[in-house]
Amino acid sequence: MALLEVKDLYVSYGYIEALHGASMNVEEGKITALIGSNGAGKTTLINAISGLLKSKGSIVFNGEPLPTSSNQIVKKGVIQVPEGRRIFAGLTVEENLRLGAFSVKGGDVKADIQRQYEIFPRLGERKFQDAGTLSGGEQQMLAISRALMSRPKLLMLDEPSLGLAPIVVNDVFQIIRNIKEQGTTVLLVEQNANKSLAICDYCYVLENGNIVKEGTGKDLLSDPDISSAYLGKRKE
Amino acid sequence: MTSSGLSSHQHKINMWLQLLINGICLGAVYALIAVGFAIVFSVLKFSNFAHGGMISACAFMGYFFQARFKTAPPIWVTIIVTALCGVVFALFLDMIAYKSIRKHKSPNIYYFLASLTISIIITSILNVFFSKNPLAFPMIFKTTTFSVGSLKVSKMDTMILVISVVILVALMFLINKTKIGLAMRAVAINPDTSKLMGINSSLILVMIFSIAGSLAGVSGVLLGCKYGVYPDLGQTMMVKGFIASVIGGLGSLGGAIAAAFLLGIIEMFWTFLFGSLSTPVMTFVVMLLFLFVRPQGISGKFAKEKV
Ligand SMILES: Nc1ncnc2c1ncn2[C@@H]1O[C@H](COP(=O)(O)OP(=O)(O)OP(=O)(O)O)[C@@H](O)[C@H]1O
Ligand SMILES: [Mg+2]
Repeated sequence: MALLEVKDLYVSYGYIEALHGASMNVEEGKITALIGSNGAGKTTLINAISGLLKSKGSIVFNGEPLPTSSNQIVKKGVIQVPEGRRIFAGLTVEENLRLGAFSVKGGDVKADIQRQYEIFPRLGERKFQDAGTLSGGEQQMLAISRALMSRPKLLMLDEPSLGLAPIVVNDVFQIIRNIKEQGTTVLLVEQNANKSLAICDYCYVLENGNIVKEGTGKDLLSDPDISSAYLGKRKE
Repeated sequence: MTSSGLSSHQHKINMWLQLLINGICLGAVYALIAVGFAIVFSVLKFSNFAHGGMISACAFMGYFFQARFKTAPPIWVTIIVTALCGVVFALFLDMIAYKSIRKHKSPNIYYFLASLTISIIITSILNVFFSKNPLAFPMIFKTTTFSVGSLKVSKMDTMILVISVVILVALMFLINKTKIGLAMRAVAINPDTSKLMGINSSLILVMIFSIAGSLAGVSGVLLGCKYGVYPDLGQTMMVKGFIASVIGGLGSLGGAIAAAFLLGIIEMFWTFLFGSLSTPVMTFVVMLLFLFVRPQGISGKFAKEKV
């Protein structure tokens, strides 16, 4: 049994259907990637899981249907790092982290924050700074760190490499690898197919609201359709 | 000769001090209104004109609560009862008007329209039943003033100042120092992202409306004590709160409070120097000046998310 099982998921914006019955599984302790081009429906899928969008179909987490309201979903440990980071500008770095821990009952928030500062020293140096004044890369670190504060069982990242310099992108992917090694299950949404196929254990390809392919990262890397469509290589 | 000159000098200083004290007391009332106004704006980004109607309605509730007793209960009892009425009233309005706006994710302009309509309805209903002549709250104090040196201070104004300051401090503590306050600030910045933190954004909105409602309740009683109770009381006074929250930087609570005290003091001095006829015009001119010179308001906190 997979940690997250999405079956026949339909999501519509008004009369426009954006997901036409997508199904996918996320195995516990693994990195599962979801790739697809602009407008394929990746953010739609992840927002439906997070309960921000109404959906038809079934989403089962840990053998139970996932609640429908987003605050309950967060309590179950299903956490999203949203596209475009969405840090709270106007609040300090530390306040952002405290918000990440909003749903954590008991536990030592201060110690958790300290742990995050050890993982992300740049955030520690800027803890009283307005989060809106951080650089793009630092904001992405903050968004990930904030998500970790909520002690996720499943961490879903929506295009964490978007708009970052290549060297920072490498950092982000290294962090994702570390998160997995710490035992957290990861669902990674990306357009950067090259890098995500390299680190994922299993991958789904979404096109126009349908899952059109799935397989291990290795399989898909050697798939001629994938390499021509997503890796910028010519079909042979 | 020298002694009489000195005493007239002293007299002048006393007069300015007196005006300053009165201005601060007036500012305290404005601050309470402005904060009730600003707290809703900070989260929902609309000017909650229903606040004025709520203040009037609560003032009447407070009046009739007091009038039920032969010997009036202590003022703090009335204030608490009225604040609770304000909360119930706010929850009721939320249920009949705001809830469906939230549910349909309608644009915030609908909140604005709903609140404007509510305010007009409340004031019209009150005007049907009550005359424009202010009803006087029972006297709270036997003597109206006490003296500090040669200054005379109104007991009523002092009471209003103390109550307002206590409430404002408690509110600022709630918003800036508690977990739920942090959640409120987060929802004010982005409700959807707040949901991803596990915050029940809708519940936070209802709480904000309730806080605003309780502030309307307290303002209603305090204004009723000061000016008497009449249907247009809330509307008239809310204009001041509105101006203060604009000067303070819409949505900023600290800014609204600072601006309200400033407005109260300016108004007192202006009225003394130039008469009360031009005071309303002056307050709007001050607001316009602020909008020209410093459109972001006193607080002026503008941070942008990098994408
Ligand atoms: N709020 C919305 N209202 C209407 N249509 C929407 C809305 N959000 C997304 N869509 C549509 O749904 C489809 C899927 O969008 P989605 O944002 O899920 O794509 P995506 O795969 O995340 O793309 P990207 O890689 O650019 O982020 C698109 O056709 C888009 O136009
Ligand atoms: Mg997207």
